Amino acid sequence: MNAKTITGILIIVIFLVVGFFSFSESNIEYTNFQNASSNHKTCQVKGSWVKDKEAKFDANTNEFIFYMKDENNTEMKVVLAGARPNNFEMAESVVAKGKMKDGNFYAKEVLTKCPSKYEGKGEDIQKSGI
Amino acid sequence: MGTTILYIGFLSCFISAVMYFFASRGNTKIIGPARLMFHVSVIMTISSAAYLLYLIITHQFQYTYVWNYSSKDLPINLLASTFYAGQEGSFHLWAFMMAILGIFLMGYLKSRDSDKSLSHSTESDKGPYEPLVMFTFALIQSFLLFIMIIKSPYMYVWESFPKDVTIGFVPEDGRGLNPLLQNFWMTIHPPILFAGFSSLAIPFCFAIAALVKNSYNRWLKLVLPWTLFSGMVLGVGIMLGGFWAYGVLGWGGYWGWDPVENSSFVPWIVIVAAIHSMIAEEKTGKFKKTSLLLAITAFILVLYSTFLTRSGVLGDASVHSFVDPGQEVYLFLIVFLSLFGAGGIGLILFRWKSLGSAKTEPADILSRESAVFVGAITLCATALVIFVGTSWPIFSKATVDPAFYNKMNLPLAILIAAINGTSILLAWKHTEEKRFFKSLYVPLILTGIVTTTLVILGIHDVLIAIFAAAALFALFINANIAIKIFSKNNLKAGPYVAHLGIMILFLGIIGSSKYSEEVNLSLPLNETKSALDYDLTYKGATPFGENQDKYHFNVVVEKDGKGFLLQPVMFYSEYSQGIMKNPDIANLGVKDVYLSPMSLESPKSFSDNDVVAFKKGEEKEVKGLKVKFVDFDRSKFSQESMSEGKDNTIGAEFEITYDGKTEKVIAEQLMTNGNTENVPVTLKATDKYTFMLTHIAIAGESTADLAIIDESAPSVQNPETLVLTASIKPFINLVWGGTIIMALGFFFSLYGRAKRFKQSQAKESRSIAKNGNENGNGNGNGNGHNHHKNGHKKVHEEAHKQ
Repeated sequence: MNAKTITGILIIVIFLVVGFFSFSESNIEYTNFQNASSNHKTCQVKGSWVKDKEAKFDANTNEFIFYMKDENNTEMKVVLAGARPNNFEMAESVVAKGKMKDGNFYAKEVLTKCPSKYEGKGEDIQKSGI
Repeated sequence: MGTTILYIGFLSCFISAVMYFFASRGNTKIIGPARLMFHVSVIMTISSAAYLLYLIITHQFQYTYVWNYSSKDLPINLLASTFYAGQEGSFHLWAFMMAILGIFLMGYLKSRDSDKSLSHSTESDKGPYEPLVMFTFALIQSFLLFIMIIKSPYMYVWESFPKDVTIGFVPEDGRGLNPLLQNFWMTIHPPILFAGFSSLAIPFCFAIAALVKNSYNRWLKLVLPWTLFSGMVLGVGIMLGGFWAYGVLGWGGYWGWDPVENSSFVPWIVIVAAIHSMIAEEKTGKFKKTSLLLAITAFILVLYSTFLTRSGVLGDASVHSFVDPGQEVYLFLIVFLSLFGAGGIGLILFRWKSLGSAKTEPADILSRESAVFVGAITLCATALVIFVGTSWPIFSKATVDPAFYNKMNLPLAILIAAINGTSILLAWKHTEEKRFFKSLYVPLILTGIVTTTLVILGIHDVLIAIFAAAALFALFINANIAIKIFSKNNLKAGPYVAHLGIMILFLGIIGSSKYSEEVNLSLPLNETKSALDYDLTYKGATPFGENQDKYHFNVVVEKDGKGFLLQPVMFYSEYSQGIMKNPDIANLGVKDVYLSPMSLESPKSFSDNDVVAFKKGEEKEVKGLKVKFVDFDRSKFSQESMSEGKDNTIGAEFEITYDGKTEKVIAEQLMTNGNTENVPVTLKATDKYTFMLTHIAIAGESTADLAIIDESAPSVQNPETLVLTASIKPFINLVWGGTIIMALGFFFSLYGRAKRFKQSQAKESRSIAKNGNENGNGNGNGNGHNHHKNGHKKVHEEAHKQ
């Protein structure tokens, strides 16, 4: 093995090691509120909006506050840094990305999953009859 | 009829592939019929596309695809773009592009194979290329056409929904086109992107042909123009997508590391690496395996990305709506991917020994080919980072934070810029050390000066400063050479122009992402707020559009007395059943002011202090009134309409005493679609007070909250408030400009190559006429090669002279 090959391999190894660490740091796992409370890592929680509790935008802090139930039915106050997410009212489920702090879930981002409107369904075609 | 056309197209394409296969095994007579069959399949593919377009334009809603994606109210250009709004259509667009490219490819191969001036110098390169290349190409096209047969755009609605409608049913109107796709950029982005995707099949086909022949002299010259074409078209296609995301989607950026973007970006990086490896191979004869491997990998990645984005595997990981295409398509995509993947990689492994046997002397470290090779490997490293990040959700229950891509790619981008700058100062094969180090002085000094200025002006992040320095270094070197070549009116400036574009793009990325400032703002009507050095005032909304159902939200942005109006848009879309939002952007040359609307908070005509809670039967004195909550009023309430989700009203009865007179007041809440509206009521005696029922609790202890608003009191009203994200994007124009310059560079390279080929052809034929059959050129690469090399040498000497 000549010096070039060794340098090459060395660079690749460094790249892989750095990559691995940076990767494990950026890995955002799907979890539930219970696990999110025990470790304070950034994670994402899938669940649904608790409709009978308040959901409001606070214009002073620019935060949207709502209550969310995860798949284990654990309820949590979610504080989203930003406005009411798109299609919030009609979302069948929401995914909040963020971390737990002081008993609240502080979300950087909330994705809403809507019933797929991308392709029509049988009920839609019935409606478009003459 | 459409289905029949597709069947004929598929069968003729497949037969053509089989015939081409036999032609490649020596049966030269069959090549005529093979061409004929391919032409038939091209005609069928184009006819089918025309037929589908006809169905869309004439509103034949009995076809599920037409019903699903278009409607009568769309103008003609948007109607045309519904062609590729869904999966079936985008596969069709792909096949259509393949058909068009296939015609050009066949013509190209025919002329090159029969070209006497070329073939006499490449006798060693066993036989013609057309059969093998076209065999692979037709096979790929057969797969695409087969997908269209199993997921046909010609399904009738009664075939798609047998339970819901009867045979012969024709819907009155279609469902319409997603409003996000209803704009100019979305009409041109997909065709260009798919042209790029399709063209990536061509380097793959050439690589397969070379591997099967086990002969690697001619394929490189033949494939390079196509590879350049792919790089150019796919690059432009991707950036148009970025422009759409920036200008229409309101992401606030042009790039979000979304799986859909990544999956077309990765093949692009790999094909760009392939271009570099191929050019180094052309000059020096080295890196044979790398060129082949990259050409093959790029296409496999196209198939992989199709699988990622079309199979529904990423369902949870992206904001894009991925449609599950059904079991057959899913399985078929896997077969498609694994067949061509295994075939390509298998062939390379099979030929590995013979590929390595042609020993070349190891490259000098101080040579352009070494630098270009290391650059290509660095490009592959970025591709790998993005590939792993994008594929991650398949293997685990997690997604990758977009920050990962930025963190990992920053050092790689620094390397790419630095290597590019250095490589251009190096000569092919061997560089004189003294000369090289001398040539570094001027660009390094310039870089030092500009970078220092930038650091003083505000770049305080070390890595970013290094990135800027590396990009500037490469920029100066490329610009210098590009200008020198241009002053001679020579088209050889292509590579330098392309690199210049990339470096400008890098600087634009630094400015617009790292130094972008962003703030969430609430703008109450007519109230000026300061943010990001600007004064912003929301002046109300104005309706626009055909039905006056879209709204411009007028925001005046002012600084130092000078102002401009920005009008971000929000509207309710029946199609998406949600609020659509489009940003508005002021391009100020050195920066963009970008307003992305988030929501409009409706006026609340009372404040929290006005709300008083009552228990049933309780009486309170508020604002000079005696107020008693008597009971709920269920007279307009019906359990039935409640359970059916229809509108419903519930009231609460109050006895209110004003000025000694007692009145009965019923405050009501109107419930529609899950929204609750408080209906304001006043007393008969006076308009001074307004009452609104804001909250009720019927179960358990009955309570009612009543807002009591004294209209004569100084207003503490909250006006309607526009919530938006305001951001400043410095130097974003460099991003667009850099991309355009890069595309121009690709174009110059392509055009220059074509011109040189014609010149060398003319020269060769003259020399053949003179010398008869004498072997005129020994190096097996034609005259164009030498010409090209000399050109580069000249440039180098010029670069060194300064």
